Amino acid sequence: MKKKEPDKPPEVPVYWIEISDSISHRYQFEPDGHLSVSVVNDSRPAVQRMADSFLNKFFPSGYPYSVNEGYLRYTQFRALQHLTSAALSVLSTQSLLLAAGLRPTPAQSTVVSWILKDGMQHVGKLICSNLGARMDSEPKRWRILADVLYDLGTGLEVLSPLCPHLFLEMAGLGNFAKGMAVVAARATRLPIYSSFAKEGNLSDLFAKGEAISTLFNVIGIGAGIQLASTICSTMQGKMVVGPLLSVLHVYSVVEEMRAAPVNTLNPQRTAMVVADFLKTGEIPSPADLRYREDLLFPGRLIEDAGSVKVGRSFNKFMKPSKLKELKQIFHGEKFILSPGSKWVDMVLEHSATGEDALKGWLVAAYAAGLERSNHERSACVLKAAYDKVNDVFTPFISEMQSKGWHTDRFLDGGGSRFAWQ
Amino acid sequence: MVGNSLAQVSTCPTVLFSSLSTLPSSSSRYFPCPLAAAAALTPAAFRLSSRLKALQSTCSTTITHSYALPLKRFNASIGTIRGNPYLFRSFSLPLLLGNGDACYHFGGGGGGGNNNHDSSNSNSGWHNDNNPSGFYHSFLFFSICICSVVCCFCNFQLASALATTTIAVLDKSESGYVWEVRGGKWTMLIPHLFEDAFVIVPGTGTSSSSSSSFFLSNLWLQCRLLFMRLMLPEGFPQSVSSDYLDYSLWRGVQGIASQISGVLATQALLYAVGLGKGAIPTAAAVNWVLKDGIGYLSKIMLSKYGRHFDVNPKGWRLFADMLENAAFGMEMFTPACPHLFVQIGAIAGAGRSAAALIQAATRSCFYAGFAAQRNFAEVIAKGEAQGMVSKSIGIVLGISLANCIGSSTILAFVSFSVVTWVHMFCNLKSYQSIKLRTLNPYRASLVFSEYLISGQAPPVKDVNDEEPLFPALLSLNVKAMNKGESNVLSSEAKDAAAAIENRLQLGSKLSDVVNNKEDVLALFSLYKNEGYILTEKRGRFCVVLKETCSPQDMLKALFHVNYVYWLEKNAGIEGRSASNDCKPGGRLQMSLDYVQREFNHVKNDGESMGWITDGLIARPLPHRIHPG
Repeated sequence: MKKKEPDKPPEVPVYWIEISDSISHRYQFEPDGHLSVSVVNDSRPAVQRMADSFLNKFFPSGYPYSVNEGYLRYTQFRALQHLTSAALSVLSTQSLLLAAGLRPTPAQSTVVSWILKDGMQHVGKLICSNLGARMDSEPKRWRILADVLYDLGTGLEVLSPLCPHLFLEMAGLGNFAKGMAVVAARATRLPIYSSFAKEGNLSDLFAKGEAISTLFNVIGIGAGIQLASTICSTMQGKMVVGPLLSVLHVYSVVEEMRAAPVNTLNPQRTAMVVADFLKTGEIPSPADLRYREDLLFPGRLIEDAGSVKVGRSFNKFMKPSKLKELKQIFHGEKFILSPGSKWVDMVLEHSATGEDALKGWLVAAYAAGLERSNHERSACVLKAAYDKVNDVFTPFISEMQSKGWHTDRFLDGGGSRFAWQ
Repeated sequence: MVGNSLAQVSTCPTVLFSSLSTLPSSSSRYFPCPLAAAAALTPAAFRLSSRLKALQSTCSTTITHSYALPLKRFNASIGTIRGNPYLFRSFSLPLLLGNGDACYHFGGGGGGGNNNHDSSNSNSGWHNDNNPSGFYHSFLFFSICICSVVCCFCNFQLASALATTTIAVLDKSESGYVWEVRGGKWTMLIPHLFEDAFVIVPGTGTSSSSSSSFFLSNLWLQCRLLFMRLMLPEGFPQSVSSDYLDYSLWRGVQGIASQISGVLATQALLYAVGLGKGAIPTAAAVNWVLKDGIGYLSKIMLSKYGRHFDVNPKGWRLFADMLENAAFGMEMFTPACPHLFVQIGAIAGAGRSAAALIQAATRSCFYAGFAAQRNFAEVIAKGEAQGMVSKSIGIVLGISLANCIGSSTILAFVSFSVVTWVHMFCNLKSYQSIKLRTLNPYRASLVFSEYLISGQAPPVKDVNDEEPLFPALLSLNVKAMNKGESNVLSSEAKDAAAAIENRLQLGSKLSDVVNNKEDVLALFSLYKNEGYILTEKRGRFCVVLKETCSPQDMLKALFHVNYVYWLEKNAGIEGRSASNDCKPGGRLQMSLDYVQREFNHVKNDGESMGWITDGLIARPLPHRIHPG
């Protein structure tokens, strides 16, 4: 409390800068004791300032302090994605109505098949709701998959006038795919949003996100109606515009997902963190990793991190004798490493956390390094690596947490875990 | 506590009974609980059960052990029979919800008592029921069968506690088998007798149904398991917080009610425009234009309140439900004045989509609280599935109700008001069952003042029960039903929380709260190392946020405010000018000193009670300062 002495460094002007709604004001006490205000470096033209204040309505309050890195890029692509998707949906609805009208059946059965088609969506939803655990592990991948599925469904609907006698089949299958996509998209929304939320402002992010997507949906519908009445009034036009829109749609989803700094640990991200740590001694932040994640093949082996595979079926690689031996090395730990010929299998206990998984990964990575350098094999290498990890682990974990990683959980999706006996 | 006693009991090498019932002979033939039935199907279990009955009367060492449980009829049974070639140990915890919606059961059965595992576990002493969905049973279910009638949600907490204990107990013994856990599914692996390999213990779900009379109950069991797999998150109940089930059940009922209202309202709308039944395409078109078109606008308008949803999700959610019901009500009203059809429809549409936005936004907040293992997607996906089921039921009920009502306005209004009442009641119950563990200004004030008064942070449940749904409108508040219980919180703390909520201004402009240069200098130097500046202006606690201020700093600021308030109430120290308060011994200096010392304690204490003390969830005004 020594700092509170008002030992005025004489005549350093007392000023501060106040930032409200991204406009900075500089306040200063004049020598005569009166407060003067001036606007700081707001050199933006009036038009842009208006645009900015309009955009502020669509950003979470406290932006950019209240959100994590990447939110702007995510939002931009999200807008594009909704625009293209809405335009596509107009085209597909037009096609559907056309196809239904082409059928030489009474109106009654058209209604029935319309309802049946919607019913298929529920089946899709039900199936997809079963895969939630996998979505937690790989939210980005599933989100992209969802949009690809959605486009497939739309594509089927667009094509339905080509074979009106198969209306129910095509439209039903389309809606089935759409139903799955809807559940996957909704379920992955929260993991993605929560990676942006910095101040517990999840609902705010959500509400603003909805506002943006609504706005661009309206624009997209407008664009779609324009397209439908001009270029796409013929089937040929649709065949050209549809795929174009779809490609744009999927591209923007991919970019959108890549921009999100997901900060939970799944196998791939854990491996990348460990690999980076061994290579540079630094721990990457979630934002550093986001563009390097492989969203197509999340299961690939990362050699720098010891080529670990996790969650395989136990009896495929483990023998009782081996288990006994390994358990002695990793006594009291919630993981067990079992070196194989091409990769190392990691076995996690039922209650293992992200920290246990990280530790196991580090041991595997160190062991791989030792093996490469002096060509020893198996048990003693593991033991040496394990001892080495025990030394560095505590600072490693606190560094992870300070970088913003959630180390309390390890999200391995549908992988197997074990309870020992 | 329960865990300890369980472990202790299980290692006691005697016949242990924990049973309130005296095993009536019929109970081994007829099981109300299908799970238990499947579990007792193996011949060995039958043999054992009869042997046990004999033992029960003769055995000299019978220890009766019953737990003090929320409902006494619930108990766990553990039996170890010494000297029996079929060594047996089982923990079992069947739980059956009264409405039959879901059933959770976890139990571990194992061959080999703790004492003689080496001698007998690898030969024929193995009888384990192991159905494919991972419910392991042995026997001794008789007393538990009785409790399966019991509908008691709180048992779930116990279930998880005991389940973990079971694992812990299994850990300690050293036999060679391993459980493979995939989601909620437990499979047992045992070492092969002759080869160096593991074999999967085949599921007994089908093989045990040797007689056809059990086939039906087994089928019922399978259906139930499938239903649970589709409707509840994987790893339930460990993978979600304890309030999840309550919330979901209430949500299910309110979903049905809301769907019925929806069908009734739509029908009324159709009558109003003069459309009879069967005009589906037109109705859809009309609906779309009104509901969606105008609704989009209201969504955009409403989104700027996003931060309010975070701070007070329950109140806003209830408001949204009221809005939704009001919209339905207006739609019901349209047949009375058809000439206003478009206007009424438009307003109702706007209300409905605004409600949808609030619901979607706050739902994310609730789900984030439920996902105890960061399994957001799983919880949401299952929520979708649950919503689908209750919606379908609601639509069917709604259509049949609509058929009964026809065009009678009176009947329509009566049924509508009944359904609305049910809907709102279920909503209220579902929000009351949620225990938010994050700290908003009100909850944080309550926790901090209670800490200052009693030296201990209050539990999550009490604070949640105490929190009004609408802090701004005190007259409208619906009090929690259990008035008698929440005496944990002192009335001083409640008053303090309410007063602080009113007097707090987060994110003030510094230029508004200071008068002269001396104040600024004093405040800057006092709060040099903090992320905020707290001062008092005209009775309001003004917290000025620095540019670097984190949510954690806001929490600290709130603790500071609480302490200043406490000083004011209890020590009678009033504020003077800012520069005076900042002098040594001044109010702000003193309190800041205390806060710096005590903040980590209160944080740890709160964390140990289950609060998330990472930061304050608040809606500060958008002003930040950067001191020069």
